[in-house]
Amino acid sequence: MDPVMLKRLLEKIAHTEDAEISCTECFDLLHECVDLEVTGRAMGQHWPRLQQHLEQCGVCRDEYETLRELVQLENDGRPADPDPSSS
Amino acid sequence: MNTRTNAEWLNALTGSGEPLNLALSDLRRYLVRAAAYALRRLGRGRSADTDPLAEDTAQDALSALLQRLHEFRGDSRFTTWAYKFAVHAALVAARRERWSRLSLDSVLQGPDLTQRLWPETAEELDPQQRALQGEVLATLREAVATQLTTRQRQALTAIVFDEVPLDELARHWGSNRNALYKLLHDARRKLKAHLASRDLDVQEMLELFGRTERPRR
Repeated sequence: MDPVMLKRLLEKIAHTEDAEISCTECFDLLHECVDLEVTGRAMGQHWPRLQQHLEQCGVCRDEYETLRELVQLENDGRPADPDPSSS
Repeated sequence: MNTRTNAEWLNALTGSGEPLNLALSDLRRYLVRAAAYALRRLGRGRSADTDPLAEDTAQDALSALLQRLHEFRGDSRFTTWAYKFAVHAALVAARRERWSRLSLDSVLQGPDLTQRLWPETAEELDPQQRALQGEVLATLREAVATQLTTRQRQALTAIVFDEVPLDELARHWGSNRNALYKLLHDARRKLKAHLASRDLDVQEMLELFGRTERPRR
């Protein structure tokens, strides 16, 4: 048994809520939350539910993190190049 | 590319003629940039040339976005809203391309979830801790065996242990992301309830096995 995977399973169980938003609802909230986070504003009423979904859903989390990085780069006036060798 | 306010984007994209064409052309470049970023972030290619998949998925994103233009409420910059369509399309396509080379059937035929929940021999554990871990895992195996459907066990195993992306598993089963997320949510709820009925606190279980990094702040 992989202990990392077991811990991941236990964390998913521990952070389960009775009501959770769907991937579609998450997608609908992505842009608003990313802009709020990148500009340092208060995250708003949707953030706890979005954050909880991102903890449970790896594909949505990848989308959120990619979008956040992209928008942050744009905000900073830097080119959107995630190649580590270029930094 | 022209920089536009949200209102300028919407006016142009709901208009006609040259302003519409220019806005579409600019928007497409934004989407290609976003898709290319998402794909390079996955490690696809290092050259300055645009990944052909970026062009294709940007076009898909543009179509999806224009169909939903009426939904934009101005609760972010327009470009952030637009980018998410490109990021989504690019990542879905990249995962599909990657996982189409693997046999999900063979992954799903691997060891069942209950077969994965056995303690490792950890020399550094004292006997009491080892015994406690054994008890906890036995209860977890019982929960998995008695509370979950076959599909739920397969889904949890594939996604948590084999790291199959949720949308790829959904596609393999002829389902969709939302339905599979709901199936997993139901599984997690049942496991949590069963553990609670055995007076096992999941947070304490995490302490017993140690914590992983939380994926988000």
